[in-house]
Amino acid sequence: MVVSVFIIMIVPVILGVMGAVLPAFGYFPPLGGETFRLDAFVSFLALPGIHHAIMLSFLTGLVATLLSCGLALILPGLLYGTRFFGLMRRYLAPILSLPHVTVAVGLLFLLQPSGWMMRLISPGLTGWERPPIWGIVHDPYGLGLILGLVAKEVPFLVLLVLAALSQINTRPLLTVGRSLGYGPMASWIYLIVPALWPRLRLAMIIVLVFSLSVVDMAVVLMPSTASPLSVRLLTLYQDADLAMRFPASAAAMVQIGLVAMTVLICALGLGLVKRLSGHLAFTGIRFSSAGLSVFKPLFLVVAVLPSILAVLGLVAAGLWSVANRWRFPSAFPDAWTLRHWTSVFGGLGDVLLTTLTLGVVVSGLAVILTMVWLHRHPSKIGSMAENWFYLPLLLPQAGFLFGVQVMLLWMGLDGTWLALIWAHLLFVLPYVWLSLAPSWRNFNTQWLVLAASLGASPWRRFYRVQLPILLLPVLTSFAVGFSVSAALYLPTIFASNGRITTLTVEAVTLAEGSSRSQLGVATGLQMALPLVIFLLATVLARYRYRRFSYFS
Amino acid sequence: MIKSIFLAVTMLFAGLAASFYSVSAKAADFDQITAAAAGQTVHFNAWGGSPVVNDYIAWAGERLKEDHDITLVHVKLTDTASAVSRILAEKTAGRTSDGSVGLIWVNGENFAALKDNGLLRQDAWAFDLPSWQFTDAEALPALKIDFGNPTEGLESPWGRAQLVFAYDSAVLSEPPRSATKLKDWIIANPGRFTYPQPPDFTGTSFLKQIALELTKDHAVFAMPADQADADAVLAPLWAWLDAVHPSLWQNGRNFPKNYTNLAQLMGDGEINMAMAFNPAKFSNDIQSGALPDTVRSYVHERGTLANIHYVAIPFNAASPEAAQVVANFLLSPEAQLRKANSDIWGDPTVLSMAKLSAADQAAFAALPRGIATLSEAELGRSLPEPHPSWVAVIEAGWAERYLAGQ
Repeated sequence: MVVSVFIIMIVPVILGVMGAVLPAFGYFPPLGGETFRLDAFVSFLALPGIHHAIMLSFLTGLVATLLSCGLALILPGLLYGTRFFGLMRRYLAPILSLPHVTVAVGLLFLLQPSGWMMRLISPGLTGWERPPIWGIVHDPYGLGLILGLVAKEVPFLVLLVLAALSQINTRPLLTVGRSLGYGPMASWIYLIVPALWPRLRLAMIIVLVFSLSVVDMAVVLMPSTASPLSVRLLTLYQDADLAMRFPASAAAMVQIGLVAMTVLICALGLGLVKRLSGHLAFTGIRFSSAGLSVFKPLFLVVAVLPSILAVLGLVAAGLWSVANRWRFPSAFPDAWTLRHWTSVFGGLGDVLLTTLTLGVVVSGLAVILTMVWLHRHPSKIGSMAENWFYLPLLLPQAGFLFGVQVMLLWMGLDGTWLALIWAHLLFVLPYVWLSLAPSWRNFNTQWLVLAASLGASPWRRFYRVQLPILLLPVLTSFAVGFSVSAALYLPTIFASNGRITTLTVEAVTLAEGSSRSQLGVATGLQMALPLVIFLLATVLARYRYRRFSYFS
Repeated sequence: MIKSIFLAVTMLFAGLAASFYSVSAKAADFDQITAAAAGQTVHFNAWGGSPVVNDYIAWAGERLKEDHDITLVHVKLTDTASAVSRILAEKTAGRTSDGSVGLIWVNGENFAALKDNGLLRQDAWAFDLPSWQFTDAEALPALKIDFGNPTEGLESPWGRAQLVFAYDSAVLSEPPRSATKLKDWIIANPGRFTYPQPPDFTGTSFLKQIALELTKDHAVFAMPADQADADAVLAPLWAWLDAVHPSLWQNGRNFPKNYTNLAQLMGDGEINMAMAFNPAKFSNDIQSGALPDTVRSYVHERGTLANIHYVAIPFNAASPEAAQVVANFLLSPEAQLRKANSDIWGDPTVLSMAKLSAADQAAFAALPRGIATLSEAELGRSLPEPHPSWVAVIEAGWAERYLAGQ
């Protein structure tokens, strides 16, 4: 079992990295590279604006990750004990199911110079009849991209924090801190955060790797003259001049190096922060003065603002999808129509079907594979192999996907559904694992013993006892897997060779075109699809769950 | 003497019979091709950024299914160069059949790349299409010469293009009709003009247009770029851009990706002028509500670039017979008529009116022309496209100077 998983999942990833490493050092016989040399790196670094691109990737990735991690660790602390705590989980979760590019497009619709925000305040507050000549997104420092990344990562990390909170003694720890005279946030930061940190390390590294290598959000939110490294990498791989494959592989190596360096910097920085906070704790300052509570509302606003902007942006996209004409500075469309939606089944209908089929198949496969693995390895002992599941998430995608594409081309499998399903499975499996394994392993196996004592066969035990009790986690992980698959951009492009289009790929194409209404429809569909699956999963599970809630 | 007349008449008849035989042989050949094409699927790789073009291709797919049982799949590209890159990758991987690209919409430097790398079907299939008889390569030499590069029948013409500009007459009474007047206007009105970012086709063409207008002798652009002193020839262009860039939309740091994006910006009121290669584009947009009905087209006084766009078949296309049938349909009077209809797409036809039937000629003459579309007379002078090698030089020069961090 372990060996077969390795051969199908992990070995191709490693081969893919090789497929990118070798051309970077000059060895690629199909293109005439016979000797090892460093020309590729030299020509890569000589490309116009490439140093700026590397710096931009580094800064946006680092700042976005630090912000998201900071906000995700602090926000639950601010709301702990208040009635907003439960609301937080409910309202942040739906944003998780959205593809990244949907959030990016929403922010674009909201914040561009002729975006909804400007239309709402013009000409009433500003007196403008024409859009301003400055912009908020598409700024050269990547603030728009950072905003989009934070909007997507904070809900993800907050939900993981909430899960981790249930595993540590939160309330007693906070009580001890308060009783020693520390302020509520000081108790949280000194006592809870260090306990949360080890449980969230992996997730934060995944977020960091993603932020450093994101392509689809960067295409939508960065100015066209200042693309980060990930976008330049994609353009190099798609360049008509095949000799550019060498600098492209060099770029992939530089990206892997950048990721490794940033992880190292973060680790060192964290060590420093730990030491400093240790010193701070020893000073005995209690941070309990009432004056400090003025920061609380400010922090709350900063923490939820990106998500609120994302939601407003999605509303703007929805308005565009039903707009027939919408001149600046009208706050709402001048003429409404449903023709963009009714023509959807001539326009986006087949893309929608593709996305749906692919997501269901991939997610179903991932859930089944995870259940089989968990069945064979019920306990965590000897589970080193499981850590390899996360390998595709810890490497920048472009790095190994190109090598994988060459391999698929050689096997004649590129552009086939098989290749696409396999490529999606690489990325969906870790998330399905993350959401299913804890609940599965927490299952009280005594129920199975009881069922066996009543004469049930292994299959009957699984199907009639274990599965119904674990139905909610299984269906939730299916929905998670579906939303991950629906959001994948680079794997879809590379594995399908451009032949098979999903909603996300179509959305990026439309975002570079002119039809805002079609982009609005695509955004609406991207919102609706995962939400429908999540709704189905929850409704189905609760309908059956009610009978079994006693057992869990 | 009678003998020589007899000989001449015999040769005449023989010649006529031979040509009739070759025409009917060609027609018979094409019937065979059409029969072989039934049931095949063609992946038509074409730029997908314009909804009207996408709708037209969808209509063509329906007609092909009805008539010939061919399934046309429109693979929407953001950049044709990526499909060229894919074909090249397949060639290096040794994939000589069942390629992922069945038919590709191409011209200019992309065609030159395909042709020079041997990536196209090598027979002159385009000249053998039945619809080719409706074209007149003497009247329109560009049918056989793509940016100065002979097509050799490797690509079949599809439509004509001429660079036109547009302005919103509600905010601008008189547009600048030359490169120098445009420069003065941009500096006087910062933030209200931009062009698509090279290497987009329209963006690079705009730069070529400015370069041509600022150069007295155009002959230097007809020769390959490496035979001329590119820096000296393009110096006026770079000077013009250096003067203009700080006053462009968003300070010249962000550019729209293509011409449809550009028109959307004009519709939003962010910029005052736009450009496109399709003379009917702006009327289309007025009809769909994307632009206000005060938009009008115009051209520069010295003339604007004009070219032809084509469809080509890669060497390893999966269904070459079906691809030829598709190309033939796209060149047919029925398809060209619908394409030239500015209510649908408005792309001018490559067919010669003199070679069409009377009914078709009348249909073309009766085509509606939108309020923002210029007539043939108003389009005025056209400038010939420079040699394709200039495109790479201009794109590289632009990237060196204007990408961030430079």
